[in-house]
Amino acid sequence: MKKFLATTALVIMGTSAAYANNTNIQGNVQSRCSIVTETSGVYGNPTADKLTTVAADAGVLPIIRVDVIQADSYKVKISWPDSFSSSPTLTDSVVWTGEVEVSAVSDANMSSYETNKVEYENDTEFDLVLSGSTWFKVTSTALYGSTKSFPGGVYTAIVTSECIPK
Amino acid sequence: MTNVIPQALGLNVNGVYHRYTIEKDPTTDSVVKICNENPNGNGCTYLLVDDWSQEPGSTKIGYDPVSILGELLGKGSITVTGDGTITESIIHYDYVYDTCDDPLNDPRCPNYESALLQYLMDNGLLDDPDVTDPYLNEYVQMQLDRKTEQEEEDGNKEEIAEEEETEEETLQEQLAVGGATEKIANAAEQAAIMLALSQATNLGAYYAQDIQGGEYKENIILKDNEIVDNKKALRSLASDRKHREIVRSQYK
Repeated sequence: MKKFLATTALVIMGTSAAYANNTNIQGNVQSRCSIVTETSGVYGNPTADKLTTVAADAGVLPIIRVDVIQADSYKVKISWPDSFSSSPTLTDSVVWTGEVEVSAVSDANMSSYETNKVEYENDTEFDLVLSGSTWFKVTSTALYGSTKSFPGGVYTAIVTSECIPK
Repeated sequence: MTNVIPQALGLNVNGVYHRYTIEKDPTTDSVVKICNENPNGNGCTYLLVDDWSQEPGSTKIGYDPVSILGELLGKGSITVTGDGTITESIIHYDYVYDTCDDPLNDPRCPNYESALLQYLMDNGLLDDPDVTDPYLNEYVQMQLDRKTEQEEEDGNKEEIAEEEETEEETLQEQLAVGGATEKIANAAEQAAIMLALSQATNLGAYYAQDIQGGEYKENIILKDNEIVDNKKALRSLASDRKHREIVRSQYK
């Protein structure tokens, strides 16, 4: 009786080993680069055809903080807006300009980020070679048509920021 | 940056936050030092060095976690060596301290009672008062004087009240009609009263008086034949008229 049972067990095991099997391996990667909006921007309206975040024109510059805990592993791409995400109906074109600058750093050597930045179209890339926090300020200006007045209403535009692993 | 940290017992600084802006030429060398001197010796108890050599100026924000007793942090400073100017500098100290390190700070602290007792004893606040203290004697005498004055004042008030009562009784007696009812009820007295009232002949002397009458003739004689006009009145009438003309002219 004991012998039979053992044989049966071997048969079952042999049958099981004959099938294909997939084993999952799972892992979580926690980003070592994070982006935080420290100050939301506000458009000032110095003239009827102009919206700008410049403080001198009653605007507020948006401030974005990028924290990196692993040096020389990420780049950050920040894009100033080139369209309104919401606005009254506009019948003419809008001319967009903007700039992204380093506002403050947590390490003196990060100040070179500003001189080493790469700009193309409405994007600006910064190579985050040091660990720590970097604050960026974004200037955005929208001019409507050929000195045409913006229709009254609420205008919203979005600055996009992205950590890009190197 | 002197005495920026409270002088509380057991205060411990857990971190130093700093923010400053340096303006400099990117091709020059400069070093920024944030220092808190050691009050018990030379050098800095807390020292942070930022090397900005060959870097462009910028704003630096940082938090430096430390663990330093507050009493060891002396006069603070932020200095730049080499090229560069510091503006908008802010240094914040993150500290904690045990409020019961000195139990007298809060009655809820353990050993508060014993600490308070010790404090009172140390400052001689539980000793018996000095009976030879001239100020104490003076104070006692002042209280006794005040009591005597109060008693005299109360005595005077009682005398005045008694006098008033006596006066009131006398006045009542004067105004009293006691006995009148007996006179009215007595028939003989009534007859006498009626007799007195019926003495009408006694009024005759008043009715019998004659007043000299007749015709009263005019006895005022004007000696002047001409009555002179009152010039003042005429002048007044003239000015009234002029005033009236001026007022009327406004509505023409």
